[in-house]
Amino acid sequence: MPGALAARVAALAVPANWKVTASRAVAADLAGALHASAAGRLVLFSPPSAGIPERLAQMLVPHDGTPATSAALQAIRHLPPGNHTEVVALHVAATNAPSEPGSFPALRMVDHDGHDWREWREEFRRRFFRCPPGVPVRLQVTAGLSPEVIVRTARMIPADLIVMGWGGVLKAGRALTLRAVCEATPCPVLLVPAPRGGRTHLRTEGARGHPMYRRRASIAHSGL
Amino acid sequence: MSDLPDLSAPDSDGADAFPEPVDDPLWKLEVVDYDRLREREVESWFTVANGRTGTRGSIEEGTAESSPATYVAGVYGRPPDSETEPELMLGPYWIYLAPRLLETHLSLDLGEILEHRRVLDFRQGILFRTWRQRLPSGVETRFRSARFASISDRALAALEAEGRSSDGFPITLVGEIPLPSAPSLEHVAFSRHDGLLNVELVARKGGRAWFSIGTSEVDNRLERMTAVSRAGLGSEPEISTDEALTNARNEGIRVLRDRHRSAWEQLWRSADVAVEGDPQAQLSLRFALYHLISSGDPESDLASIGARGLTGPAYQGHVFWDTEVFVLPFFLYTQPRVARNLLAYRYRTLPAARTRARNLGYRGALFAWESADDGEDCTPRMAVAPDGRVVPILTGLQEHHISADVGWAVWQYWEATRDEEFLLHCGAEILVETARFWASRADRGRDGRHHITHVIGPDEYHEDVNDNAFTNSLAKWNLERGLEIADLLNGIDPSRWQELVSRLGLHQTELADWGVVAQGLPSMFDPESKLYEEFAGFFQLEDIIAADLAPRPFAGDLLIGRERTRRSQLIKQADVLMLLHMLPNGLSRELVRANYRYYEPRTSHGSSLSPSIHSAVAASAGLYEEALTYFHMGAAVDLSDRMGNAALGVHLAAAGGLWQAAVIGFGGVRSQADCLRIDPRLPHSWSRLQFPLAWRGTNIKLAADRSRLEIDLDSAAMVALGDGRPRRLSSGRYRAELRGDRWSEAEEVKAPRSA
Repeated sequence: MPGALAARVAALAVPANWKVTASRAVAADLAGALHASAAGRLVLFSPPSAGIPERLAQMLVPHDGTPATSAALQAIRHLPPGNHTEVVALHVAATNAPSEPGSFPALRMVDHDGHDWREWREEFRRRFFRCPPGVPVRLQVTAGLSPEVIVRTARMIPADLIVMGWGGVLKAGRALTLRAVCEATPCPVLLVPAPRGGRTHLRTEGARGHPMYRRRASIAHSGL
Repeated sequence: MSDLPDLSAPDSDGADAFPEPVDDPLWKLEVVDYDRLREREVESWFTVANGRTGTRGSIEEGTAESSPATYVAGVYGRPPDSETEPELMLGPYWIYLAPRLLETHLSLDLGEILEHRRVLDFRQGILFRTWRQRLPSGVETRFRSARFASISDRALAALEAEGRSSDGFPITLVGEIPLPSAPSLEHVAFSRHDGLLNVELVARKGGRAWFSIGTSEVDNRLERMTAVSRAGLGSEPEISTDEALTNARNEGIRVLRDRHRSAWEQLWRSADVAVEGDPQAQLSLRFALYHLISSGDPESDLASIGARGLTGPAYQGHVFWDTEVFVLPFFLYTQPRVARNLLAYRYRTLPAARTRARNLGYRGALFAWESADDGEDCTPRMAVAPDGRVVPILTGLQEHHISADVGWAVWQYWEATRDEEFLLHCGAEILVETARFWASRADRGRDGRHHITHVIGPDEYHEDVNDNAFTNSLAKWNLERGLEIADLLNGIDPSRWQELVSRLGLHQTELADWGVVAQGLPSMFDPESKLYEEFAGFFQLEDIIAADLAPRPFAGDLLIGRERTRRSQLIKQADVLMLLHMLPNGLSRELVRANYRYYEPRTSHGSSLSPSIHSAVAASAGLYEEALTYFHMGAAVDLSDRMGNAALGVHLAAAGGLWQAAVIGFGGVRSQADCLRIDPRLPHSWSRLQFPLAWRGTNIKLAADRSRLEIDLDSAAMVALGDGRPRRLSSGRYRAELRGDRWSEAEEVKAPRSA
């Protein structure tokens, strides 16, 4: 794992309490990287053809609207604030709606252009990620074949790192996008497996957490 | 734990028994457990509203995922940094509770959820919640709540809740009511008086609202009632909230709840569409009707209905053509008073529509594409496209068909009610002013014809087009109705007509010009192919079949890009088919089918307004199974979150469209000048379709199966079956048989009329 980049990745991994695989052998070996990631590890895959960036100025986070790929967006939450990294969250709209419960794919119907995409972005952010203060995030939506679009966008930005969440399942026919991106990537790819099992964690802060309702009034009550 | 009480067992019955939802699964929507990702979607579905306030279905103690809100209908404020986009006022979060067991605050993430169930009971108009939790200490707690926005006493809403624990310690529920905080609110103040919490809200450059909230908590049981009063722009408060609340508390929550349930029963009797053989269709329809009924207010014309009603923040409560064309027809035939109030909003905003027309160099009235309380156009001018680019939004500048849509709604109201008083004092003026607009909007071309150029039709993938068939035909229709209303009004009340002529400065030459323009507008219809061309040059564009690109629905401009979409025949939603749906009289089935067969394959259904209209048009073309497919696509808009943004509110146009697909499509109901025409045809999986209608003062019940029709009228009405001749049916029950493709004459059944 290249030094400066490894330090950055470690910064992501430590607060998330992930086990990080930092083997040079794995780093350039796709099959090995996928196996390590499928085992629940955070793996930085860096093929010889990919450049090694000095710093993380531009980070590309592809997403297909499924909770599985949202693991990558969760990772962004742990970026140190004010580190001058811009995140481009790239949503590649699939022609078929994802079947995973809780998925939130790109709009298939847009009644009012002036509103619907803005509101979709708001809901997408609330559903899948919260960014630390000071980290600019661009949420971009596009269509097409996912791997090609992701690699093309990574070249265009140009991205220093692609962060890809995935379901962690290596069966035939699965993780096709991830494999294709890793094979053609112009930069290192951080593989983030989706958390395994268990119910969705609930954080209950009460309505006071909602910005629309900050003030409180004492409620008067009396016996019946 | 064996010595602890069983909290999963129901309580005994009794006068004080906690209310329960109905058993019938076709009258309720139930969500079990808690999905953090979908919570805001559930909150939209579970809104309780009464046309005056709408409270999202957020759980009482709130979660980080919640978007809690109580919206105040018809009251808007203007954020200081955005003069053009007013937003609907938020009221206090009056349902908030803070359940505590001793010092422990109860929440879904504290311990283990044993049961979490929410039920929206359509029939009673009540949202129920049951929640059992095992705390880390092993103690089990049970919480129940029921809430409603009273449909009988529309200023009131109520919440009942109770908490129990297995260790016998009391659960307290009461918490401090959160007050709204939004840039569009200029002033929020509260005070306590006689055990009530009084909240005053003043919208920035908008109206005002007052809430009084009273809570009682005894023996683990809490009752809370809230009263609301509004004042729109320049109007006075509706009521005194503390007086209304004091009266309600004196009567008690059970009395209020019983009255509310009775009112819902009554409304369902005038609106329910019963489908046998297709439980999914039935549930979807009741979900749609529940939200439509909840959005309307027959007692006040202070508010119109926004595209998401009172269910979510999307579109900031703005009013679009969705209201007149998709939502209003439901009310026309079920609660005409609500339809009248919706049109009263347009009448009240006529001055803004006149100003808008004048500012653009036209005469008459051009209604805003998006509007709030004052009728000013508040369509955003720019938006961030999916690819991140900022793009201009032209709908506010070019989607002028809204003026004809409003005129169309006025005429539909007149056809369905024959309400002369409204026509004389409001409707006629709207029709005259919108006709006047179209006469000035059309230009005479070198070919001697009149043309309406630089417009957007319902298919918003194609902007800045000329001679859009929908716009031209609606404009022509509007001009003709303007002339008809002149004759009609002159006949009914000549002095009123003269007063209007004088006030509007209307000259006979102007009326004559309307006829010339109406005749001069190209219909874009080719008699040989029987096709309407969507707009001038449409047939020369790249021919794209939508289904070849991706499974529908899809956003075409996202999939193939805005520019290619613009240069192709890929269309967003019913456009020519919308025209055939809105102006169906005199169209042959052959013509409808030819246009359906051409345009349906080229439609991506990239709008929630599309599937239900395709369903209705397919049914009128005799394509009943395709109609059913589209019916289910329309039903999925919110319940399957097809739009992807149900979290921000329920799509009321889709709900209204679903009613139209059932009643106008499969029910074959058409209001014509001389009669109500009925021609029900069912898809294979529907064994029976039954619904009520209010038409020109007669309450009609229709029940159809695949070969028989029953009609029940409480007074005489002119009715035509299929393409048969109109016939006056007196009060009574009638039956007709479908023989081949034609209905037999309706024969009176001597049995007593159904209740």
